[in-house]
Amino acid sequence: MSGIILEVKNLKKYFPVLKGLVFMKQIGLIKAVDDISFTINRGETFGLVGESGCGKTTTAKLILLMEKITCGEIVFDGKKIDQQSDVDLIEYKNSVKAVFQDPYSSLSPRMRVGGIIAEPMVVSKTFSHKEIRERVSTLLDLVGLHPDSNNLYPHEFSGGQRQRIAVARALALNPKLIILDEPVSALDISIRAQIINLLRDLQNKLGVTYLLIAHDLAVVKHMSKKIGVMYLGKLVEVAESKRLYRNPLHPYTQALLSAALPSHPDIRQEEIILSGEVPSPLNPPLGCRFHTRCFNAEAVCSEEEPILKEVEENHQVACHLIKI
Amino acid sequence: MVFNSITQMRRMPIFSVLFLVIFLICGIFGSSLAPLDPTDGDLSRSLIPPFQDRNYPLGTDHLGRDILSRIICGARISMIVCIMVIFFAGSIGTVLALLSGYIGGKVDIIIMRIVDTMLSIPYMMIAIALAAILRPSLFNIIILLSILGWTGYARVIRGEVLRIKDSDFVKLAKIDGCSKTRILIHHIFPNIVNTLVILATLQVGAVIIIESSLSFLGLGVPPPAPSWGGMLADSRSYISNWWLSTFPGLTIMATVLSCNLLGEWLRLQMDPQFRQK
Repeated sequence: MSGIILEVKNLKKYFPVLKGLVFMKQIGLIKAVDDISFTINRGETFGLVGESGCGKTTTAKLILLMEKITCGEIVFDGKKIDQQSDVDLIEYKNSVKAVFQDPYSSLSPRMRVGGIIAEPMVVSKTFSHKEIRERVSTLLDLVGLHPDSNNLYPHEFSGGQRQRIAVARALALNPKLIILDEPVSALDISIRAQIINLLRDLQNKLGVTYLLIAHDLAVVKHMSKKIGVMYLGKLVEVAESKRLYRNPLHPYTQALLSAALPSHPDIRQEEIILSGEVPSPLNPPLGCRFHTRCFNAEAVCSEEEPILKEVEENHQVACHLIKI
Repeated sequence: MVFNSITQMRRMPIFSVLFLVIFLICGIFGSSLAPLDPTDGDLSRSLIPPFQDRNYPLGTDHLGRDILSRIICGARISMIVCIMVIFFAGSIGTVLALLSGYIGGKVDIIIMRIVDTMLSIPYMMIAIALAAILRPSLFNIIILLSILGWTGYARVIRGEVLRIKDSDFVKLAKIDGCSKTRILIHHIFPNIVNTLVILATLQVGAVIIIESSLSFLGLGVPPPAPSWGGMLADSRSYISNWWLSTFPGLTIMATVLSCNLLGEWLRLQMDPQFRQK
């Protein structure tokens, strides 16, 4: 159970900004995701963190093929994903599933739970009615819900239970990769731990791979093997989870981690306060995108764009000031 | 609809249902239920006030026809017009709204501009013009009201479709590879049924009133066939004989009100979130 399951190469997503009522003129590009590359190993969790608007969710949408890719490629399980070829696409769509943030809008209020969970199987047309019914009760059991729940409507469940239903649906076709887009952000703290542990148990049991997108650093730390830090559409640092928390190298990562609450109230840590606002992705700064707010920026930072390079084993940073 | 418990039954608007059942029975069996022939006039017994003659409990009109019998038989026209118009206008409006909202782009623009155009022409004017061209008849009234009525559905339901289209469960359905047809039928349509029911029940009222207005203007179902609007129209020169206009008027009011109340109850019943409360 090792090897790379998903490889993202130079992925870009630019949204055109149009102006004008009748003759739409393109006046600029929002570089939501700008040239990012990373790999996810089979059976592991890759965490993607960053502040809002940095392109985490757009990355997820690109991998889920919900948005057209401007440039770059996605290699899944050794196969390059081509948005044109139908046969491969169906297989890809069956092996990549998603769980979204809001468990209230991600379940159709007019469908029974059984129907919601069964839908991917019904659509794939490879299961008989009997198989679907059995699989639904297995899945309900797997996520810790009573098998009789399949006849109920989503509104009869709490937020945490709804998220369990969403997870069960995502698991229906035995996917290889599940994209978790802020899976616990909408839940109460007490429920979060349950869902996170459920996701971890499922990973251990089924060997499924996760791409976890979150802004709660504690959650990411707890779940992920590897973490990627994004800033303004760029990956600034990719490292193994433990290494990143012990030794963050990029100034942005340092600032981000210092802003996280410590696990004990008595622990006092120095907080790095960044000045200024996030620059507009419509007109990102030249050179390193972080240099306008960086506390140890030098002349080179505003001139040359740093590339992501390996500074130690399993630790890549995009910063001019880190010398190998 | 299956009633699971007595509590659900209890909140049913009994008077509305009762009235509408009577309305439907009158609509279907009207001519055999009516105590007297609604078209049989006799000038010697014209304008008998209500509650005076045992044979004519609601009085007679200027031609000596029994008002009660005319109201009972008039239900048929209102019923047929309502059911047909709601069916046609509702279907056209819903299908176009689903296409317009879900496909978007040029389809949306074209459909919505048609709706805008239809809505910008005064309703009554179009009705009068068309009724004049088409000649008054039951069939033409149904066509006319359907053509005029679908725009309301299209407008409102399109908005709903746009809202639902962007919700996460539709996105997840797309990720799972559901076809457009499947998303429309299984995900979007069930979530607009509520709105559709409300619009349909509100339209019952509108259709009865417009049909009555057309008959009032002499553009509705041609006399001597009894219709509620036609009865109101006839009564306009006999305003001092109050019963001529009051009874058909009250019947129209009660029917419209019953439909609206029943619609409200149905809407709650069909929403799984309210059903169990």
